[in-house]
Amino acid sequence: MGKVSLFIDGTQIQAEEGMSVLDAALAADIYIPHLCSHPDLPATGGCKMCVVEIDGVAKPVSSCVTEVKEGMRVTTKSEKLKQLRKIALELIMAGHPHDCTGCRAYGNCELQAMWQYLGVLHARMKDEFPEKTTLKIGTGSNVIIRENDRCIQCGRCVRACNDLRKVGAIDYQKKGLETYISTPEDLPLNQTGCRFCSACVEVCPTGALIDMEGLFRSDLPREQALVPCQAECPAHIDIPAFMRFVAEGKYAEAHAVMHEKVPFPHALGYVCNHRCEDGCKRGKLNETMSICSMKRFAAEHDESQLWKENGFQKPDTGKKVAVVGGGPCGLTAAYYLKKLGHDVTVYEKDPIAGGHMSKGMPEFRIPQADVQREIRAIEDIGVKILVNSPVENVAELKKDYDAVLVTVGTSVGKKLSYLPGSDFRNVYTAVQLLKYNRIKLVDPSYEMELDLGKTVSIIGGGNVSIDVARTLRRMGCEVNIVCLEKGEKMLADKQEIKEAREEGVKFYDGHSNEAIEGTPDQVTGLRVHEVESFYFDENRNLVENQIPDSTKVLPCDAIVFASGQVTGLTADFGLELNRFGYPVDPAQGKSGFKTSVEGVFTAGDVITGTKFVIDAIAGGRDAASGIDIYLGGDGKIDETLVERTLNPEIGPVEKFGQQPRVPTEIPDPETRMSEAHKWDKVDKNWTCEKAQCEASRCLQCDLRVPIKKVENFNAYGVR
Amino acid sequence: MINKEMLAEREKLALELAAKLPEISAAQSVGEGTCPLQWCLKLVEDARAISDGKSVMSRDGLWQLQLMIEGATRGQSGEEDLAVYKETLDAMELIGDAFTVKVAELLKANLEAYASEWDLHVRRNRCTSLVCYYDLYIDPAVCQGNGACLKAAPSGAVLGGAGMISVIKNDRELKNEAFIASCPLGAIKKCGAIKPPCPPAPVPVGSFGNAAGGAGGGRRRRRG
Repeated sequence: MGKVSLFIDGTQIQAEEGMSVLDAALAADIYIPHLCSHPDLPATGGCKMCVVEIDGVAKPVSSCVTEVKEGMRVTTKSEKLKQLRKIALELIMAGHPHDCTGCRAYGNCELQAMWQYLGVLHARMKDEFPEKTTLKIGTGSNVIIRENDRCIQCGRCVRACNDLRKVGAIDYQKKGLETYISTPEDLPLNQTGCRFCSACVEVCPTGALIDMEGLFRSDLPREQALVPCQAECPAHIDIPAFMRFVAEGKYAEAHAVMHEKVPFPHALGYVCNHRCEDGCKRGKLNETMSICSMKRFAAEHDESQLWKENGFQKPDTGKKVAVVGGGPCGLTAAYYLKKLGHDVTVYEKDPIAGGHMSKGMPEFRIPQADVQREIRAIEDIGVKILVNSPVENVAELKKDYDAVLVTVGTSVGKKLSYLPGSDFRNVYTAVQLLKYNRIKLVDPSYEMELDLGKTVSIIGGGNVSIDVARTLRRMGCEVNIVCLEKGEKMLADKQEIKEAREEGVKFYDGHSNEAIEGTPDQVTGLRVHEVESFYFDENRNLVENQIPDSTKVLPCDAIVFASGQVTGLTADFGLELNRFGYPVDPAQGKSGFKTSVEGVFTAGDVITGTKFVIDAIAGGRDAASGIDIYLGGDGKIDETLVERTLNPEIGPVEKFGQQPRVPTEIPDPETRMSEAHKWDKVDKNWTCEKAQCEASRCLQCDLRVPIKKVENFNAYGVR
Repeated sequence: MINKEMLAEREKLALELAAKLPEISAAQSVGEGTCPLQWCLKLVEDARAISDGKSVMSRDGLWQLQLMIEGATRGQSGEEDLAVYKETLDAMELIGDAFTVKVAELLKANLEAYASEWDLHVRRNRCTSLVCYYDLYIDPAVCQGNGACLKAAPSGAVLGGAGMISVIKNDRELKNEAFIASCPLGAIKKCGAIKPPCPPAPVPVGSFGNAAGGAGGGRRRRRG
């Protein structure tokens, strides 16, 4: 592109050939008022705000549609131009409501800024409102709010929809003599080809098109908030990119996108608590995207393992790092620390690594083979994992390493010791039981003293309780779940509860425990009563409204507590602990990255208390970064494993807004519980065809991020 | 970002639409009995009907002109509105597209050719053609007291009886073609500033003197 030189209000400026006079002036920090033009959209010259005079041209012209020419002399400010702009703005405002303060775009409205700049008020022109018949035409949705009366028909939304996106859901329409903007036949957006990309909202200069309230978080930078799934994900996986790859059938690329942020996408695809889906904009439209299962799908259909090719590996630093605890947090940190060039050894107390992924959740929810495959990939880059290697004292260990990261999590089950009988022989914790079951499936010689008998009662109603119940059913036991929360209020995932019921688990929800019946040597039952309601008082003590005469004994042979986990750390570990057994950073007086020993750090559940796998992974990433900086590195672990291009021209899809979520396949309970299949993964995921169908429902919220913002007059030096 | 193709298309459409508009001479000579403001109103309505409404002038500009002209024909526009009307036409002529420029030229030509008629409308609420502003009276020489007008009018607006000359008491709600047409003899007539002599109250048919008076013609009382 060649350069041309021209004069704007006497100032010589340089511009690209083919540029409009408006763009050239704005680029040179000279403001020309403009309303209907937008840096990403073709100019129409429709609003006449940008009129300028050019020497040798008889009439004023719209600068947005006038190409720059060598030696051109342009006047952007004169009394005559001001008069023309005022008339044009008065005409536009004749059709616009007067109640600025009642508008959600107040303070963020280009029209408002324009009348402030030009000093124009509603006064001289005749009000068009009493005449308008198209005011009440609402064609919006739960995602895009349409306030037709605030529309100034600048046509930016029409150009965004047609020229930028090639969707064509909205256009100029006519009713009688009125021109307005709407869908053909004023259909609701979800009955058109609208893709709900919200480019129209992004470019609207007024409050005519706005995002539904609560769609985006207001506590984040705008470009992050605009992609809610990615913002909600603790590891910030680029979900829209990954969905696009699946929709295109590029599963290896999709898998690589996830590997940019997490070393366990497959495991997460089974058990993540998918906060991404809670944020999903599509959820406000009809049903959320099925993001979590899609991670598993991509991992299972990646044939080339492309992600392994493009990762960074820094040269050896000669520094040694020990990671204590081989769960998702520790392994994630180890993986990135190794990539950063450090020599990493993981100390795992159990025979298999993987933490809750491999020992805290049942086989039929998260198969061991898939977890171990992902752990192997971490070993493949040179991380040493020492199993059956508990660390007694971390301060001692530190003497052999430059840094130590403690990621022991909360791997010890808690018994409610105030409950009479909680010290009886057949009383276990969920952690013990699940770990026994998982290790036994891998190593049949693994033993633990366990006497469950015929019937087991589980105390607690969270996801862990359901996991234990379903495991026990598969081990041949009758199972009762006893929990305080009743019905809808139960803490476990609704789908999990449904599947557990189908598998024959009995629920005693809305029940409170009184005592474990029997002798120290043999449990015979659990005495419970029903509660109407309950709450915790200011001292966090339980207060219940008991239903009179509801006490009964549930006969059972063993009890499992699924009522929380603790770190199991003691002072012998060599770190200063708080009274709950969590390491503390004395400088801060609470748990955090640093500990009481220089060079020993903590991350994951051992700081936060029991959370989810994705939180542990996010914590592991931060810890790797932090330790690298401690060891003299830059702490940078972000990587791009697959190149992607955004295609903004998404085109229409008929009734796209109504497409339902595609469910994954779950076999009937008989098949699930049969001897041959009882440890098989319950969720069978999708066929490729169904996965692509589901992935293509994505609204691709990230397409909106690169759309430029129009700056108001006060952003320019010469105005 | 300049899209030359799109701009060329818009320019072509504007020229096509402009070609559908009347010649300037038509605006300067709207024809006997036609109110020049009503001619302008129809022009603007026709223009809005064919306009694509994609620019401020072809959308809000034409609409605003329509509202201003309507105002002048309904007693809702003052001299200041006429000034804004002129300013708007000047702006439209300078920065409109081929189509709206032609509309502005037509309206300006009309305003110039019929300056006194515009002034009459805006300042005096009078219309020489008796289209925009007029009063109604019942010609006592024609009325036969058949009561047709009494049936067509809201109660109390017209006074009369069998064989009596009807008298319009209040014509505010009667100024419509349906009421005027309600008299089979055509006794209901429009007039301008000067109302021909009529009986103040109903009198028997044939008892009121030789009634005569031209519509809108005759001597004018000067006001203002």
